[in-house]
Amino acid sequence: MSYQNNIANTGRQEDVVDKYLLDKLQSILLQDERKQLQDLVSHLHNLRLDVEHLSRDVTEIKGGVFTAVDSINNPSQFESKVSPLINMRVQQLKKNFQQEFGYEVKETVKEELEASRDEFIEVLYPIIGKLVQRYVRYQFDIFLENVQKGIGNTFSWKWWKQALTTFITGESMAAKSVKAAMPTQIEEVFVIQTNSGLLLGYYSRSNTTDPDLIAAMLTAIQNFVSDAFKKDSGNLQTIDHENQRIFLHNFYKHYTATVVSGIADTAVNEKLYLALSDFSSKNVPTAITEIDDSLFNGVSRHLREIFEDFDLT
Amino acid sequence: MKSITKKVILTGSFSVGKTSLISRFVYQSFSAEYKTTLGVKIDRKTVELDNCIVNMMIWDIGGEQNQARVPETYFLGSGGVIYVFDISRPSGFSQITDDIAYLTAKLKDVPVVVVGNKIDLLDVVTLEEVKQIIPVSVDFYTSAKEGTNVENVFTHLAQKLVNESQ
Repeated sequence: MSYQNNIANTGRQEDVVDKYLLDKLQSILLQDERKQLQDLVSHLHNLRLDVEHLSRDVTEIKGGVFTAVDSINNPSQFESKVSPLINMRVQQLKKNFQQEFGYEVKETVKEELEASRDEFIEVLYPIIGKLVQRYVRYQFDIFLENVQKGIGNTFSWKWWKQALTTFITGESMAAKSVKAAMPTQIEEVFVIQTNSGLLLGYYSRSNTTDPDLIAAMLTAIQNFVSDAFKKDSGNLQTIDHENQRIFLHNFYKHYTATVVSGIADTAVNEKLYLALSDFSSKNVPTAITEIDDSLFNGVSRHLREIFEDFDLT
Repeated sequence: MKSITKKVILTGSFSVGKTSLISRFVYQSFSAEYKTTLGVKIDRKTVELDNCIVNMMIWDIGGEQNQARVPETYFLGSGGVIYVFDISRPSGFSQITDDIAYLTAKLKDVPVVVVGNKIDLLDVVTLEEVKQIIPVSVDFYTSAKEGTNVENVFTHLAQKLVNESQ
């Protein structure tokens, strides 16, 4: 019995050992699979969490869409939400309009103006005409006022003085009044070689575009006139242009053309002639072989010195 | 650099291309449209040479049948003359000798440059044939239309003007 028990005990022990060894073997062999299984379980768990999140997001979006649809169906609600955005954009446009659309607007306006130039002129012409008319009337009023002042001095000391001058010089008081209203001024002086028409010297209050060409053209006009009327001895003496008069004075081998604005009468002409005659004898050489910079600059400098502040009254 | 101003006369019969030569020289342009010059037209052009700047006041005189009909006053004070004739119009050649004689008599010691214009209207062979029958010595053959030799005419005259003044 005890033998049989011993055998039975021994058999159980062996079974236990076998089982232990089998488990150990299994553990060793399935180690990698078990790890993969654990990873898979972990991954599955994460996926489940993601799906739950997505599900929540979809629910929220669905809610948002329902709200938007409700807002669109309800204009007042929609307007209250959209208006602030539009207002903000409008303000931005107002602020940056020049930068964003300035060029396009400028080009469009330019094209439109060019395309309808005639229409514009037609519309503006009467307006400009009125402006010019108003300006002329204003200037005329000033002129009348000045003449009036002159007449207003009648029998004053000034008047008696003018009357005395009139008696001596023979110049009328009316002419004196007009002269006082429109000051006489030298605008330009050209000193021109008679035969060639080349410029020997030049003075101008405001620079003319091409004094050389003007000198040549003035000479050509003189030539034309003397040729047309077949008179060698006669000379052109004045040329009138608007409120300017060109006085032409002839000297030995040159002549001068003086542009005078304002009242330019015989007395002015005489005064000019005396001054230019004196100037010519002192500053313009009679024997000129060549017109170069030094000659031109010298004559021009002297012209400026004498005629810049020359008093013609 | 020294700078001088001279009056230059551009003359010749009518329709020989005087104004076209000026347009080509001064404005680098040419127009086939013919407009007769009435009286005189004045232009200026500055030619810069090695030793001097020459400011040329060019008087383009309206064409006349012969030079004796040009108002004498236009010639006064000239520093130089450019006489132009039409190389494609042999009928006008007979006048050239008289015209040049008249100019040299009127403007003593003034350089005269003789120019045959419109060479673009002739082919090379015809041009050589025509050259043989021109009664005077020609300084330049030009084409205002194509710009051939135009610049040379004025530069040559500018140099002569400088030489005269020295």
